[in-house]
Amino acid sequence: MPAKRLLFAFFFGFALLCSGTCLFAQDAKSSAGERRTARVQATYLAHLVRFTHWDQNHLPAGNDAPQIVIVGDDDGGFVESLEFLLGQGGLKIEGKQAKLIYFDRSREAEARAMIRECCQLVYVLPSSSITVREINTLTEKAVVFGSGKEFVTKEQGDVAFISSRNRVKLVVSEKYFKRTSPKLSSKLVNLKSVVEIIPNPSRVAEPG
Amino acid sequence: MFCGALGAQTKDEGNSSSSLTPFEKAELRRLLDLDLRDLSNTPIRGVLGFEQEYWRNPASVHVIRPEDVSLNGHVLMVDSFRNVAGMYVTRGVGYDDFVTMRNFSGSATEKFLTMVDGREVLQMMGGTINWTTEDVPLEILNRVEIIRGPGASIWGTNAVSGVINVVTKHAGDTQGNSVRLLIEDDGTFLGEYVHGGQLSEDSFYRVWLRDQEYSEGELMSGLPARDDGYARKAGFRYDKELGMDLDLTIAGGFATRRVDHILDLTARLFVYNPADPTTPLPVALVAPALIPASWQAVAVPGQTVSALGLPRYQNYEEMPQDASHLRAKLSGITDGDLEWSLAGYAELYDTTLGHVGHSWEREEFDLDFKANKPIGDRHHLAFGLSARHVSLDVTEVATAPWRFTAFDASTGTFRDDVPILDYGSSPTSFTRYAGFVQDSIDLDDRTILSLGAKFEDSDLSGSSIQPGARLSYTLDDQNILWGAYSRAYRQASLVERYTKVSYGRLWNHPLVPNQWTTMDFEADPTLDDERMDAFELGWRNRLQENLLLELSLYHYDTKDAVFSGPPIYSTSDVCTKGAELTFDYSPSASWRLRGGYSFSRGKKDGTPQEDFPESMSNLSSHLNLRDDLIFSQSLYYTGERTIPSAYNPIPVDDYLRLDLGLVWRPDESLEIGLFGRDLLDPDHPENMYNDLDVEPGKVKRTFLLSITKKF
Repeated sequence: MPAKRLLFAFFFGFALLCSGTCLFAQDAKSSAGERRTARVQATYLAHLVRFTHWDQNHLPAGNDAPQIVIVGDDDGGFVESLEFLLGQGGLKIEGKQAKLIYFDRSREAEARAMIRECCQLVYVLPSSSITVREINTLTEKAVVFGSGKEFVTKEQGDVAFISSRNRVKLVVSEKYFKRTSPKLSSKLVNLKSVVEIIPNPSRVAEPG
Repeated sequence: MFCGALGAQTKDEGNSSSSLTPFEKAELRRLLDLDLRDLSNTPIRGVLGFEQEYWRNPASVHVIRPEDVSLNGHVLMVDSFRNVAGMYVTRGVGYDDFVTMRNFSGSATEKFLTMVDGREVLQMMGGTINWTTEDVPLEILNRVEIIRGPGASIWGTNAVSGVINVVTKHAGDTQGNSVRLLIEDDGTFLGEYVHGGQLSEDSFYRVWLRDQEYSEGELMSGLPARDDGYARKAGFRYDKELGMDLDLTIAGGFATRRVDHILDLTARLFVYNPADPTTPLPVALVAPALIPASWQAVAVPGQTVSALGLPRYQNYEEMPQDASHLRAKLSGITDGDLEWSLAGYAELYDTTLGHVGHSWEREEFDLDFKANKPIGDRHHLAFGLSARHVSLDVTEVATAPWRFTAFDASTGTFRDDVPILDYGSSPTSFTRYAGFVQDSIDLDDRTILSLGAKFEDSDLSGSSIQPGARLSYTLDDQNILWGAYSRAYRQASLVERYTKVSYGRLWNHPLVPNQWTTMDFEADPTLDDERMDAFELGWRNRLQENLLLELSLYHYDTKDAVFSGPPIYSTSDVCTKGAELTFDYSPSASWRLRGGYSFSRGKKDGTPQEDFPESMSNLSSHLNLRDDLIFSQSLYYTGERTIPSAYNPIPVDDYLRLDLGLVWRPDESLEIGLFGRDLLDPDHPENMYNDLDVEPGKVKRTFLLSITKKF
């Protein structure tokens, strides 16, 4: 068969195949980029938890699982990604499998109660109305994650994910490295292309 | 103060739904295995052709990780290509590995492009790859990406049947010391040492050494293969973060190999046949007394070759090879999301193919710029420019058996110094300029279309445009369909294009009675590039995150395909069709199964090809018997084929290979593996250089002990 006819037949056949199968296809996921960003962020979080040290008195007593609280509405699959990583055994705090608790905006009152009672990590989704300042009044034991550089520079969160240069990067408050608990390993300081460290002169008092 | 329990509220009560697709779950598992540096290099928007592991990639891609090498009891990375559907990997003698892909030439000529950290490693002279020289210590290997099918629109000329892209680790990821030792029961040994350190907060280095000692094997006849020798390598890499998203890499390496190689002299001396001048008669059969003394010295008494029962003559000579290279790469991402890299390579390669009396020194300089950038919400543009300059210094000598007087028709004189390969005054300096552009377009949430072309201009093959189009369609959460059309070119090697081959001597030619005359054929400087139109269709299915099925279908239509080997470099039109079905399944957290089946059928000028097995399959299983103990099983099937030859075609029966191994990891720093390979068969033949080697070596059952220690 001449190459031109073969080329035509190939593309025609493929187009026909795609069109035909559309009729039977389920809805594909939308916002592929957003969902991918969420997956990378969730994986980062799993790594950072591994590189974080909590003092014993900042952990649940006995055999209770350390807790990660996520607040706000999630459209990008972040919570689902984190849940999946949890199921893979990839989310451990001081060697113990963490427990993941998610509250959407309609349940922020419950989230506040949970944060006050006990949690080791709070992830504040952009849509949440809960502020870092508020979290700091509720607990001293949790490291606080969020999104956007200002989450660290202005709101004084510990870690923020930012999307820059087609990558997910981290903005980390210096206090997260320097306090005694929860404390991020200094190994991450070396990853200059990933981690931007924000000096924090107005450090909060060390929890005790 | 300890945290208190919160009673019923502490259970998972999230109101999120479990709506991740199986593809997304699988990617999360992969991301979780990455270290932070690799995770930080994960793009939010991938570019087709740059990020191979994205599940919407419209290509057949297989990625080999270091663990795939160590857990399967492989010594070199080339051994692990046996686990890739569509790749045909064979062993000649102990140091010779042959790799071909998708029914493209069962000879030594690789018709795919191989790059190690971006550096093209295909030898222009013979169109081959020296897999020993290009291998790297396992500790520094990040991954090997194998893209089956042409990738010319990005990778360029010679990316015909596929692309192999070897990527080594950042120096910061190989800190400390690592030793890997492998010893086979026949005495073959491999030792690797890697040391990495940190020079400053943002700069890292590593140095490494490797020694491979080959013990002598056997040929199928039982004769010694004379393939003992060694290959030694050393290398370094320096990485520095010059700033946020600006990285510098400088790396280099030196490799040296000392082995002997054979030339089959069995069917090289003839007597003129007046009854049929085109079919001269072997001297050994009709007039053995004429055989020169220099030839008698390389006779192998009692051994015959070919169906004609020709007495065996062979000549071993040294085949030393030294190679060194240096590369520097600057890469970064701008605020405008332009991701770019500028790399320079310099290489010096010095080799002598003593058995054919052919030596060359090659100096090569490459400059390569690549970039990609999102344009709006739907387009992602990739583009690049490159320049390459190669210069050669070629020398030839007549090896000892050939040093007897014969009439050389090309000079009209009697000579005793006619070399087998004569490069003569052919060009020795080549420059190539190339550029490519490719746009990946998100037509909608389901469909990605990639259109691109590479433009090349070179002294060797003139100007060419190599277009490609790929389309990926997400059928649903579990299924992807893709298709591609590509046009690819392969340059004829310098031997094929420029080297006159004096392959024999003829007695009693009517113009030169009672004398020897040379039998030769001229090179063909007019050989066109091989042109291939390739059509591919693929289906990728992930029923669940632990099960991946992939089907690839291809149809290749090749014009002017070169088939090397005496008496002439002929070109043919070749039509190839094939399919590959692969799976990757993890029934549980402690068990992983992978495998594939490939079928391919080629016709050369309408005649079915027999030099490539039609059917091949592989299956590997890794089962964690305990947390620290892994049971490894690999099964390979290779269909029958024939090693082509002008006078001595060798049929190779189908064979089944079973490898079993136990890998013990008492702690994170130590791994000890014990493997039995080819357990079903004491030995079998696989391959040889047709018409250069006399017979294949025995690929024997072997037992391998491997020890890897980090400290």
